[in-house]
Amino acid sequence: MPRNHVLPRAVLIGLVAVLAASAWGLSATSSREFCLSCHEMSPQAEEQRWSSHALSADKKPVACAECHLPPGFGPRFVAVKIYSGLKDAVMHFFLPDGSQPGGGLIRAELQPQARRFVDDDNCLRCHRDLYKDARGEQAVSELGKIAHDSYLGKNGQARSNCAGCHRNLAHLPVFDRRLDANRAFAERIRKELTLEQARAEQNPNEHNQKEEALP
Amino acid sequence: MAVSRREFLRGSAAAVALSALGVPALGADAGGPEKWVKGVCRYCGTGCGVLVGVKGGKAVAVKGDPNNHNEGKLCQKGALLVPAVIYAKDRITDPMIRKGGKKSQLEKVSWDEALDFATKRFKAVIAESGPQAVAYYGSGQALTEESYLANKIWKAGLRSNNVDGNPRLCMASAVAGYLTSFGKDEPMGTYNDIDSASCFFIIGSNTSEAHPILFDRIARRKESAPDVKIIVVDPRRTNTARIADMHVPFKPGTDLALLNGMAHVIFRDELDNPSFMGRYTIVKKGAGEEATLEEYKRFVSEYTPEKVREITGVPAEDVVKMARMFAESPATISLWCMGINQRSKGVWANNLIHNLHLITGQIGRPGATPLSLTGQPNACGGVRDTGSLAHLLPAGRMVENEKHRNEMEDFWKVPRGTIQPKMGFHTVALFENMAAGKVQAVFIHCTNPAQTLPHLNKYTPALEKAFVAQTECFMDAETLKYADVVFPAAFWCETEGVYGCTERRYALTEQAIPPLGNSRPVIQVLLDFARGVGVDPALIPYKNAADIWEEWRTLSKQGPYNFYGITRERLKKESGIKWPCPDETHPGTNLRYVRGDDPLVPKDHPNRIFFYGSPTGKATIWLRPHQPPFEPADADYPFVLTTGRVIDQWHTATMTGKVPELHRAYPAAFVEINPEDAKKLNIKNGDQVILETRRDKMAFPARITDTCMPGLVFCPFFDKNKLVNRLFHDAVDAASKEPEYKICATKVYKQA
Amino acid sequence: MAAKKKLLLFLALALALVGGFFLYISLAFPGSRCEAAKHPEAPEKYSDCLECHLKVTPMAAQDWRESKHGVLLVKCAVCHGLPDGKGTVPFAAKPGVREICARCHEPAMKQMVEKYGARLECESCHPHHQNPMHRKAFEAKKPSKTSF
Repeated sequence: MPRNHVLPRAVLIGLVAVLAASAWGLSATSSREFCLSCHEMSPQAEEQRWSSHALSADKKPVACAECHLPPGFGPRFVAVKIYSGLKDAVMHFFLPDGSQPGGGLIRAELQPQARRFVDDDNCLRCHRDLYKDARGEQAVSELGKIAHDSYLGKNGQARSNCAGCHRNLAHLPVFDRRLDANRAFAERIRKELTLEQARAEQNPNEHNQKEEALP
Repeated sequence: MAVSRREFLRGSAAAVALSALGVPALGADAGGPEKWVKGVCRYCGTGCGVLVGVKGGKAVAVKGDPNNHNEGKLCQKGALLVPAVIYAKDRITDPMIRKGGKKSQLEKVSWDEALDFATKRFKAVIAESGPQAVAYYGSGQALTEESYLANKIWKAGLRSNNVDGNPRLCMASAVAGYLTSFGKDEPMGTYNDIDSASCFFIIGSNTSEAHPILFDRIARRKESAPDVKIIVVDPRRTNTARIADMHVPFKPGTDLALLNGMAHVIFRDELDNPSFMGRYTIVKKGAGEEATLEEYKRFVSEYTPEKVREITGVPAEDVVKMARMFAESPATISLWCMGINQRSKGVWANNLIHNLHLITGQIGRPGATPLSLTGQPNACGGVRDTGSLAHLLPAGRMVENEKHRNEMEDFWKVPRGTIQPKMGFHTVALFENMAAGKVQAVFIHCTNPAQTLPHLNKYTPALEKAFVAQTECFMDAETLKYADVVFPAAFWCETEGVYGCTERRYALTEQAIPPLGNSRPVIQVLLDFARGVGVDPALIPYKNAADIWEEWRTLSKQGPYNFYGITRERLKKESGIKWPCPDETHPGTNLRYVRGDDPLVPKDHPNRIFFYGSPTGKATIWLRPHQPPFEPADADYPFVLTTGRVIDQWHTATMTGKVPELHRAYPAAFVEINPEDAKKLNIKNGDQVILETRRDKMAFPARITDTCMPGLVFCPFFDKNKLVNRLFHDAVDAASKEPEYKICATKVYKQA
Repeated sequence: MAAKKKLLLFLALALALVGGFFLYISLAFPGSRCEAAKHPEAPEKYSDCLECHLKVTPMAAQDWRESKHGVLLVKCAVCHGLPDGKGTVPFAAKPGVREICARCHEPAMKQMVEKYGARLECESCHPHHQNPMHRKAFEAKKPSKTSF
């Protein structure tokens, strides 16, 4: 019967189309440009420019998804995409304070949530050896060795993931700038923001060059 | 205020639980102590009141006494006394003897055998070489009754004036400072003055680590009144300087110039108080020759801010600023401790601080007073006031004053001439004479000289040579290595007795628990020892500490240390009373020497202040020139080494070292090095560093911090594995005989 | 009726899927590991909790250092005990108010109880790591806390 041929084939084509569309949608909504298309993310983007995680080891800009989305395209990735996609959409369209550069988000409440979804695998992709320093060159400090032993369960058992201890690596809200541990990062922000302000005052037309040349 | 769901649930559960127990939630509950026994903290001279919780005959808890000056607060040392220190595994619970001489081991014996062994030896020494060959070396941590008793036994019983104690190493310069400036020892202010002061002049004191509860009080005063100013003068930028408006580092040992410089500015800028000086002061110089105020002003005119800057390194404008703050504030209180006292010119430094108060009239008013901080819990009440030092007799009397000797002989009902007219050996001289064999037997009570004497390599042979009878509670005391007889002492709240702290407050520690094992109260040990050595029993007819207190209280009635009103009953009911206190209805004295406050000042006295301790009724301004320390840094030994305390460890750590939390905070000694110096010497944090002085050398792990100024290094002295005092010399102040622990010259280099 | 049943079934399935989805999110991304955390053992030379905790829990450590307890040098172990549990103070990430705070603050606590009745926790107004030198205690509470 002709109907029996058409329906399963239609369903198949439909399925393939949906899958293809999903795949395209998933990857398109994971790009750096897409994340930053919402103005709520502008403070984070600005801070990341001056962070230790602005560029990877081979001098390429680090995209948001490299840390904030699980690697690969497996169930973890899809789950986070759905979860944060829904959350971001709700926040973006229903949050009252759209006039603020940060979208009126309470960053102190965001931080623990963001840390939850930073997979350890993302960190380990570059920082493979936990007994070497961040650049992988020299041995880690004695305290670092004790801490990483604890993370691996060899000396006690740390409760958190990588991001739970190593905080403020890419983003540094104002209330975290007073912490001694973030002194270098805070200094850079302070210096660069002052420079930017000075430049903006001199050349008012060039102030939109934010997303360009990274250091 | 957002309350998370979890918090709300938790809170509700707690509320239900609390309401089940009944409101208030605090107070004795089913699992806590049966009773709380009042006492005084075993540690520093702040003298915080404590309550020891007792359950089933054991001490199970401790908390602050809300009715004492500390209002329930305790620092970590006091808060962790129970149970770790009392029930430490190495508590000595049985008497011990070295039967085979110094090289043999200590063996446990009975009390009779130990007392016999000791008294036989003391008697033999006295018989052969006379009473000057035996000595008592006591402590500012001993109970008042113990020190008074030992003093009497030795000076009136054995007729030896060789009674000295570790306050000689700690407060002697402050004593002599008060004596020469005001006529009698002990401060005229109290802790109440902290609550009224508007300027704090803190010099030579790391109050935040040595007297934490006083530091708390100072910080709260500053917080409560916005105009309060704090000046911290210290070559180290310690934690105390965190609350300071001005931290003034200066070249170690040059503070006399700095203090004279402040006086200079006070006169130059007409901030002095001529009316006060005219009415209440005389001027002296040298060994006590009279001088005039004009002479003093001329003397001080040489210490211009520029000259002071040359000597001390303090910028001239800072000298001026300090002086102005001191003089212009409505009420200025000075606080100082070992940085000023443990110096070869410690007495002079004390005088210069008193000078500043006298020329500005910053004295005798709430908040205006020079308050010397005492290190130990009972140096004041136990040793200074009872006169348990080689040159003193009770209540400010002097051995070498015939009238004073006669007064004591009459009171103690011994024939005139019993007390030797010549003073005994002060601590350093005592140990020198022990090493030389002139003093052959010593009774050491409640102190650890094998770790705390200066120039240890010179004086430990003294302990090896002489016969040492010692009371001690803990097996890890360094001095035990040299003891021939060890008497286990009842520790702290295992016996009853009085402590007198910095602010002239006498407070009673009541017995909370029985003495551990076979340990005994030292009163009993001293009585048995005295009887065994042949002291007339009529001299020592006491059954317990309360009897001794009764006698001492009665003795005080006659003079300026009058505390006759501080009866045992009052001590039990109240949380300490400040003397002078002449009768039982008197509440105690805050402003000493002040008419209306001090009961010893006649109510109709013409002046508001009466320094009745001084023969003229006036205080003395002293001309004291700057002199450098005994061993300043030089080309060969380019660094200055200083020692001091850390908040978690008390003295030689025989007590605090038993508390895991405190031990863990400072398990071992270190050397603090300034980052500039560390860079030049290529020393990194944690490196082993050798400190080499003219006497010895020792390795310490380096701690790179900007606490010390360049050119200065610091080591704590609590670690028995790093006997820092081996590195120090034993130069003493000529008047007080207190050693200069604070400054010696050292080489600093990385261990190869 | 069959249609209604089908609808109900469909709704139940949808709910189950959604519920399952959120369950998966909370289990797969726990934030802190479910296994009981055990404090690492450090050699004795790391006597100062602060050295490590300035890096591991920077907010709590720095809050403490800038607070009254920090200025007064009331160190970590005095309230929290030692992580190997061998100290005299029982090891607790959140020390008990009656056992620990009362040792020094009992008069003030009694006063509070008399004035305001029993409170749930002192720290809702007096955050023990954040009590600054120059503000009233109840103004001190900051929005963020270190949490694991």
